[in-house]
Amino acid sequence: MSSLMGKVGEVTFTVEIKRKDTGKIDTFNLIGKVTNEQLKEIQDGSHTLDSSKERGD
Amino acid sequence: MAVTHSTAAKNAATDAVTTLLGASGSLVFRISPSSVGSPGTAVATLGLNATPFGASSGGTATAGSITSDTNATGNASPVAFATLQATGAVIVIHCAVAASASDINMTNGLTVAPGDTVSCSSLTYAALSA
Repeated sequence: MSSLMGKVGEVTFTVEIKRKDTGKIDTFNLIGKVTNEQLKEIQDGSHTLDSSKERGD
Repeated sequence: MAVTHSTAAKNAATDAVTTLLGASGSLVFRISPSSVGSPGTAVATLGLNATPFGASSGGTATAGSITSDTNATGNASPVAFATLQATGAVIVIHCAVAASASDINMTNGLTVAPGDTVSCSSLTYAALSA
């Protein structure tokens, strides 16, 4: 059975946290993916379609 | 075969999702475990603008102003998920979050302590990345 799967979307954030105790501001650039597996892919540079049997390009 | 969408299709998909947030949406940071059906414990809740996102351009929508949580609930566990939700805690977008590559060496993860102020100065969403 054929399957077509587009690349999933993503959410990007810039978050600042001002610490109550110290007043220090920490800034984080975050990226969100639909699943943990997809998030891992962007962190380690892999992608499931690059190595799975579903690859067809 | 790789699937690629036209820009018009990507814009339509993104706008269709952001519209679901309505006029009283919120951005909630959560700890693990979390899912759409069983969202994780919230550590900070930020209010979205009445028009939460502008019209998508190039497949990506940018959020309007976001109200800070000036007295976060906090948690000893790091933030692992974020939800964008409509009134009544109806989750529209649920995603696992982590620091992007530039910040990947941050230590202890993103933790929020009780009483911290959590702000979000930039938020974008793309339903389809290609």
